[in-house]
Amino acid sequence: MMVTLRSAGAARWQLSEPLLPGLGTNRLSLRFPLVKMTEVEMLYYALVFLVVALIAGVLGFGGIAGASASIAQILFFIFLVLFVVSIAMRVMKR
Amino acid sequence: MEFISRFVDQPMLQGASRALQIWHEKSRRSPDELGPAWELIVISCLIAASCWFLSGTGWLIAASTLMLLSLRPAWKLLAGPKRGEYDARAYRARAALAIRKRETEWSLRMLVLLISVCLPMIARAGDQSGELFILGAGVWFVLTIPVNAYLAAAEPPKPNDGDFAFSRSRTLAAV
Repeated sequence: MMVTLRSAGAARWQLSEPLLPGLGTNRLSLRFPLVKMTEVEMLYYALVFLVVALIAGVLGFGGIAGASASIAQILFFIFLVLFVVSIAMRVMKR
Repeated sequence: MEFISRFVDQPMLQGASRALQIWHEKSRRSPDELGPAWELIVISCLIAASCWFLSGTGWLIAASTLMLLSLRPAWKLLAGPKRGEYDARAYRARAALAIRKRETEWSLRMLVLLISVCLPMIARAGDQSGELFILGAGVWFVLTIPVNAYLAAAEPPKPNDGDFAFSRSRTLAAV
């Protein structure tokens, strides 16, 4: 079905099929919006800081290694909180 | 809770929505690209600052960390939608997602905001280079994570379909 929408200006939107929210996008992120994306990001960032802490520790930079490790710890804590919230939301929806 | 929602969350969401609108109007790119682009700008500034404040292997570690942190936004920009691909369909999908996020993820946005404020106080370092590292990481966290959360939950701009003749003044003049 062809749908044509007109905005206030000259812009014209042509759609080849009916609009369904979320169709064609990441369905998981639609079901659990912010949590999924942020969870993965936090875990990635925590791993980055963990790797940096290990490398800095090996090279003998105690200060940077400690700082990096504590940041990785905090980011991992945020990941855990988001993960628990995500599971809780999933259970509540069922 | 009502106070925080009214004076912190809502103004932040409105600001993020306005930023998305300006980005789309000026660059004709998808609003999804604003977050990664902003993250890369912040990381570039931090690399420049690390050149100024750190030296030797300490600088190398800080720069490597920043390069690792820039991989994800750079990949998002490269693998994301191309210029002109933000149409009515993408707008509706993004708007529906943003509404859900605004309704259900309020507490998570507040949590991220709170942690970003507290990060420099929670993290500990032994020496001066470590303190500078934490300062840089705090700046990175404050300027990227909450910003990304608010950009994702903000109302997206309506697509302009790359019609360069369209402008607000011309529309008003036509009315």
